[in-house]
Amino acid sequence: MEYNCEALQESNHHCDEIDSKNSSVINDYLNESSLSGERRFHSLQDNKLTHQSDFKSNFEVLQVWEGYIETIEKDEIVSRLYNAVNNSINIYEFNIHEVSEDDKPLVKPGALFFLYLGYDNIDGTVRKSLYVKFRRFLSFQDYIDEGLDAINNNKQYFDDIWE
Amino acid sequence: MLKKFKKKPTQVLFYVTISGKWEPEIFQPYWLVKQNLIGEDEAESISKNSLLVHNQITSLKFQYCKIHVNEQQIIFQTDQVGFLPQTFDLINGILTSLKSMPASTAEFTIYTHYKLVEFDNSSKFLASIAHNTFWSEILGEYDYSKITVTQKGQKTFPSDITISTSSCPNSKKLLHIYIDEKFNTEEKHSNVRDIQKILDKEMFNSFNSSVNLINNIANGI
Repeated sequence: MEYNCEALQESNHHCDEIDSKNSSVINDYLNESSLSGERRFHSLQDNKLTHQSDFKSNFEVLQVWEGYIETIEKDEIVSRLYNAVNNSINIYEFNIHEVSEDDKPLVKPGALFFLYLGYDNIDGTVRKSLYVKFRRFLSFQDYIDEGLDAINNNKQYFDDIWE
Repeated sequence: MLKKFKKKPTQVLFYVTISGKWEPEIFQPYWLVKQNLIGEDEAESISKNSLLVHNQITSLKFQYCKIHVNEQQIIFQTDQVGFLPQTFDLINGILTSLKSMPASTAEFTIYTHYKLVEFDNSSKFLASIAHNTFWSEILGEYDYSKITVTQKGQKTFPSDITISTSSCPNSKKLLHIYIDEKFNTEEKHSNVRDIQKILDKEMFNSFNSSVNLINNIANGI
């Protein structure tokens, strides 16, 4: 996957904006993150201790399955789903159009995913929804490339071994 | 498999906190893209909607969790049991990519918020679980507002467990149950690899025993 330098610069620019215009936001975050223990769940509003409710997802999970792609034929994906609640395994077929653009490159036999069933809350409108999220694992390509470069750069030391 | 709450809390938050020495400014969405931990569209969405990057603090919000990073801690936070497996994937990916960084503790925390059924106020519940005559002899009438007990964990890695039950600041009909298990590495100069060993071995067990404890406490409210 390409490293998006322009976007990184944009976000740095965003950071600079925060730096100069909104230092109180940073102070709030610093206070919040440095809190330890139970105190981190509460905040002071109008001199009254209240809940912080810091993170709330806009998706309420009713059920989650762990999935594994068995076969792909054209756009049809056949997978196995594991339900950890009742320890059952089912076959689940879905179309590649149900996969987000972000995750499409990950679709291949053997790929692992989560299937979520729940309620999606978009700007106050709640609807039942089913979505697939492919599992991502750390890219080791950089480490492999670094290792191969190191071997190539020090080829003279390895010649004896190869022979 | 993660245990479920027998009595559904009105609010729940799960935290995984890794203490060490961090550089918050590296935790940018496109750094996560480079590590193959999120997609480009997701990175763009985070950048637009929920990004705060600074040399002392970074905050990123995903659909399933939130990450706060300061120079001492990385804090992963989610609000549903169903999102824990995906959050664990993200934690594992980030820690693997920072495997040589110094790190000293891993902390697993569950905070729950319950509406009382059996008791008409939280002080009565707290008095029922920590009945003693010490305070009544000194103070006469009094109310409990919080009870905290600590325990040494009996697991592969040594841990300190804090269990706290307290009245909600908003209403006496509401109760907070907070359980925190903190693991220290036994190594003198420990790094993220040592912390990952703790996570691999203890994270699911810790959350499961905490949910079990909460179920037992909530059974009496």
